[in-house]
Amino acid sequence: MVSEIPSKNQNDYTPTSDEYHAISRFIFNEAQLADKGKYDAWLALWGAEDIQYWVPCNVDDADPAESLAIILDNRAHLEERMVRMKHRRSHTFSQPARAQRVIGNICISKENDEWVVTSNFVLGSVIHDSQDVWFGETEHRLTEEQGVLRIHTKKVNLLNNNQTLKSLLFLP
Amino acid sequence: MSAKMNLSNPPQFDPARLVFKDRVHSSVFTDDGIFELEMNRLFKRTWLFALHDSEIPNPGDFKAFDLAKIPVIAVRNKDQSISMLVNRCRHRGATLCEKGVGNARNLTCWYHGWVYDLDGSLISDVGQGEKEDLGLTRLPRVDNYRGFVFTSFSAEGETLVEYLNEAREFIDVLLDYSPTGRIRINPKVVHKYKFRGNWKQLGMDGYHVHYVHASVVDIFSGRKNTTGSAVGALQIEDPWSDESSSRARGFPFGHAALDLRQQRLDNADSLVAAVEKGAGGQEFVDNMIEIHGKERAKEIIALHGDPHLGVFPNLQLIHDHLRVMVPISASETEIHMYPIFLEGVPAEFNTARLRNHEDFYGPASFGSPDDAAIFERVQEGLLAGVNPWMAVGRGMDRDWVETGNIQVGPISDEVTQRAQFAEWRRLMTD
Repeated sequence: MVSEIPSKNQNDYTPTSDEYHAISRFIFNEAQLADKGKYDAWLALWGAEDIQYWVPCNVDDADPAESLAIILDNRAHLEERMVRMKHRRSHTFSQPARAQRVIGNICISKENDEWVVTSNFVLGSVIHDSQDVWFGETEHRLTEEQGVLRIHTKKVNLLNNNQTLKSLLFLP
Repeated sequence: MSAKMNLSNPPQFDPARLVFKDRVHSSVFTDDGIFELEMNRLFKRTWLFALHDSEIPNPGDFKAFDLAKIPVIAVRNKDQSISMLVNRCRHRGATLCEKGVGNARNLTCWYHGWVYDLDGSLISDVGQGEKEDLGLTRLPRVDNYRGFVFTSFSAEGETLVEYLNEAREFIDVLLDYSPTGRIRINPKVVHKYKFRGNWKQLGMDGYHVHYVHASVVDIFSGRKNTTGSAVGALQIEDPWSDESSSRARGFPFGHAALDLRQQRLDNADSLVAAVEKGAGGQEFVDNMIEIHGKERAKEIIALHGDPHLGVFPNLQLIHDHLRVMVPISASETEIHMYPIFLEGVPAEFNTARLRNHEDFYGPASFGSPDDAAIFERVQEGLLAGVNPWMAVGRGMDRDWVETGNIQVGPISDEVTQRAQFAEWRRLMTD
């Protein structure tokens, strides 16, 4: 039994096996809720304020002050996004896309009181008669609010963020 | 039986019978043969938007992209002029530059080392033919209007000024919003977006907002202030209502505008106050007043630099961005949306414009995916070969003509579509 799981950066805090599994479960659950379109439960995983959901465009670390993002939500905009995805007259989502992702390469470190979790994903999305495959890497920053893990920031680098994209009909 | 005609090789049909004032035949959107004819008769004859001159500011800067399905390179020459070259080595045909932007001292083909000067002339000795005959193919015409660079594959035709004519006033609305009269486009900051539909679906349409974007209008109505949002300043008056002072305009040569100017001017005071409250807004407004005086500054700011103009066939200036339509096939289109950076404004003012853009435009925004979804639905429906006409006659009985032969009507009238198709018919049958 391995009691300590190495993190990406050896200088960082190394999570215990329990921590590794608890955090991995959180990441898997978050993906599952997004894939199944359980938007209320998914939103509940986020912190109460000061959050950021960021999907850069063109370049992985494009400075938002001078660049476009694919998604750049604060709490208020993320809430509006949920309203939109559930809206009766949001035609894009009238037939929700089916999505399923596989997550791997999870690395966990800690900065101050924040868990920094990086992972890779492969995501299949199906809408109407077309199936697309998306790849990307995610960085979650998780904090504990009243003893419960919450997402402080989530950044998703889509592998094709520099290419011509179709509509994203799922939560990356 | 499908009503879709077999128009492939050689085309045996008459485009004049596919487009009438009040209706358009489905095949105009679905047929591969028509698409090919469009590339040859329409795109290779008229003016096409190429790029904004700020994208390649220095000698040797180039941008490689596709125009009318042809790979081209826009190059900034040593004398500051811009050449438009076909991106194809005259030897065996390899492209010289990869798509995107860069800087080069000359253009070299890495197949057999043929070297071309920035203006396209062949420099190296290649042991065949005459050097002066082996330069890169140049597009015969390049011209620009206040930094918007247009080009044509045809040596003949209207001048750019004749072509844009009254539409220039709308481009001015955009540029006047910059304190220096100049804007900047960063070719690396772009939403590139695609949908399975015909390029002509991207007309200017003042009719669809309340239907296609119903969810957005609903959500944005819950915000305190939507000045500068893509659906307009809803807190003052719905600009997409036929009762509003908004107008749909169709120009000669197929240009079209959703003209929201009057409503904005009527509400100038509250719109200026809303801009002042935004990031960097106070500094921007004070600066504009210093440059233009209070009255003119108020007018410019109220118009928000948003012409909502479509320049036929491949450019639209909407809200805070410039977009280029890139036809891929009869049923596939790309849209490249470049946010417009204003010169001479506080950095945070431009940043706020980026956020405004993302709100409605882009692949995971609140607006664009609904547009793409309806375009795909139309493309699917048009394959129904029974009763194959689509209707574009709304408002024909109530529209009027203004100076410059501009067709005008309430915002939801299909004058914009009719202008587009009148030009389509002219170029396709001429």
